[in-house]
Amino acid sequence: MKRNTEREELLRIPIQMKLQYRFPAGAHYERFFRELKKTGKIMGIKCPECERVLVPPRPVCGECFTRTGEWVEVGPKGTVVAHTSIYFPFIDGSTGKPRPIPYGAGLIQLDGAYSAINHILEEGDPDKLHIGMRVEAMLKEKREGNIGDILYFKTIEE
Amino acid sequence: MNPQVAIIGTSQTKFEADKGYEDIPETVFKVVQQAMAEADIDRDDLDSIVTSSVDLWDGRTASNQMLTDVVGSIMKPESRVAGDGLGAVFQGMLAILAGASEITLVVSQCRGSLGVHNEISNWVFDPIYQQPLGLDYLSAGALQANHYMNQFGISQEDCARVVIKNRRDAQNNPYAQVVKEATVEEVMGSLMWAYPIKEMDAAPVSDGACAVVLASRHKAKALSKEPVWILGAGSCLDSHYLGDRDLTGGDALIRASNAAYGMAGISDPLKELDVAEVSAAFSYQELLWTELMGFCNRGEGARILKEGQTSLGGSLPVNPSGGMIVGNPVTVAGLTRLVEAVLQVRGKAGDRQVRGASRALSHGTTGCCGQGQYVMIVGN
Repeated sequence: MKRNTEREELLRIPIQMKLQYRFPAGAHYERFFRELKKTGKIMGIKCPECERVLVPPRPVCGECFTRTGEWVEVGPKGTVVAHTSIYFPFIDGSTGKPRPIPYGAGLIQLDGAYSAINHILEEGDPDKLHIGMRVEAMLKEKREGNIGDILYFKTIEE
Repeated sequence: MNPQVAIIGTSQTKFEADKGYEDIPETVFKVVQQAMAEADIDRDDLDSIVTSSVDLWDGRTASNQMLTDVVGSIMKPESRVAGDGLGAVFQGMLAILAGASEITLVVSQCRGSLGVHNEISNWVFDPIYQQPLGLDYLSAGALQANHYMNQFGISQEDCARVVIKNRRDAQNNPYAQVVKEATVEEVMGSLMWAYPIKEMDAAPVSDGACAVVLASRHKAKALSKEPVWILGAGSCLDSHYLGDRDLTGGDALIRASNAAYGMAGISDPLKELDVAEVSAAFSYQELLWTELMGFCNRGEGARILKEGQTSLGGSLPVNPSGGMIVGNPVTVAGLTRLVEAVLQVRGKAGDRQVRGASRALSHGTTGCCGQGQYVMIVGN
C-alpha cells in the first residue's frame, strides 16, 4: 500500500512580535558600567555573610538572603570554567551584524570573584580550549558603559 | 469549619508612574523584607514561594528569573503565576491546604513603565484573528462598558462618579499614585479614548509590588498575635473570546463570589461585609463588579454609589484605598486589594480605615473584561 505522506498545506500567518521596553538598570548595574567605562575596572560586590564576591554586582546575595556590601575589583584575568565553540550565526545585539563563526563562548571566573561570568572567547577552536585555561578581558578603547565594553577574553600564558 | 489558612504579614510599595530610580529586584526585596518582618519570620521559615508576574509586561521570558534572589527562593520550591497576584494567593493557599507547605510567601510585581500598555495588552488576544484588529484592554473594555451602560441605562456621569469617589478616598491612602481630586465635569471633559471610556475613567500606568505571608492554622496561631483568616475563596474563568461571553452577565464573577460567600457563610454581602476592595481598571467596571458580586441588584451599582452606600461611612465601602483608578501595576492589583482588606480587618488602614471592620472582601481579575475572577474574603 502506498503511504500517504503528503498533507494539505494549512494556512500559516506570519506574525512579527515587536515590542519596545526601557529597563531600569538599577544602582548596581549603573555603578558596574560607569566604573567599566571610566576606569576599565571590572567590579564585583561582596556578601557580608558568606564573603563571596558576586559578578555582576546585585543588591542581594540570594544564597544568604542578605544585602550585599563592599565593592571590590575583580579580574581582568580569569580562569575558564566552561566553554563551547559556536558554529551557528548569531546576530550581535550591539552591532546588528552576525558574529563571525566559529567563535568561543565561555564561563569565566575572574580572579577574586566567586561567580563566573558569560562572555566571548577569542579562541574558537575547540581543540585549543580547555577548562582551567587562563584568559584576560580585552576592553574597547572607546567604552560606552555596556557589556560590549568587554570585547572578548584572550588566551594568556602564565 | 475552622479556617485553615491565615495571612500573617503584608506589605506594599507606593504606586508610581515610573520607579526607574531603582531596579525590580530592589523594589521586590523591600516588600518581601517588610512582609517577613511583619510576620516575624526569617528565610529559614519559608517552605515555599509563589510569585506573580507576566513575561510581556516584564519584557523577558520567565520573568521570575530576576526575583529568585530577592524572594528567598534559592534552593526552595518556587512557582509562578503568570497572572493576577490574587490568583497567586490561591496557589499559595492550596499548597498549605495540601499540607505541602506551612508558610508560603506570595509576591507580585509589575512595571507598566517598561513597555507600552496598548501594545502589550494587544498581545493578550489571539494573534491570528483578534490581534490584527487592534483589540487591547482599553478597546475591549469599551465594548463591555457600552454593553453594560446600554443594558441598564447607566450614564457616563454615573461612571464618572466612581472616579470622584475613588480619587477623594485616595487622599487617605499614602500608597496611591493619583491623589488629585476630580469633578464630574473634569472626568466628562477628559480626553475620549475609546467611547465611552475617557482618560480619567481609566486606571493610570503604574509601577509597584506587593507581598503577603500565608501560614497554616497551626503556624499562624504560634507566630501571630493578629492572624487574618481566609474565610472564603472562589475563582472562575470565562471563555477567552469576547464574542462567546455574555459580556455583562458576569457568570465567572457570580460563581467565584458565590463560592467565596458559601465558604464564609455569607448570604447578604451588603450587610455582612464591612468593606470591599475591588479590581476595576475602568470606572464602569466598579459598578458592574459590585452588581455581579451581589452588593445590589443588576443595574443598581450606580444607584448605591450615588446614595453613598459604597463610600467611606456607607453600608459597604468599596475601594476606600481608591482602587485601581488611583494606581494600577497591572498584575499586582488583586494582591493589593487583599493587602488593603487585611489592613482593614486589622484596624491598621490609617485614615482610610472602615471603623470596626471585621470581614473584608478582596477581588482580583485576570485577562480582559474580567475573564478570570478571584474573590477572597478575610476576617479575624
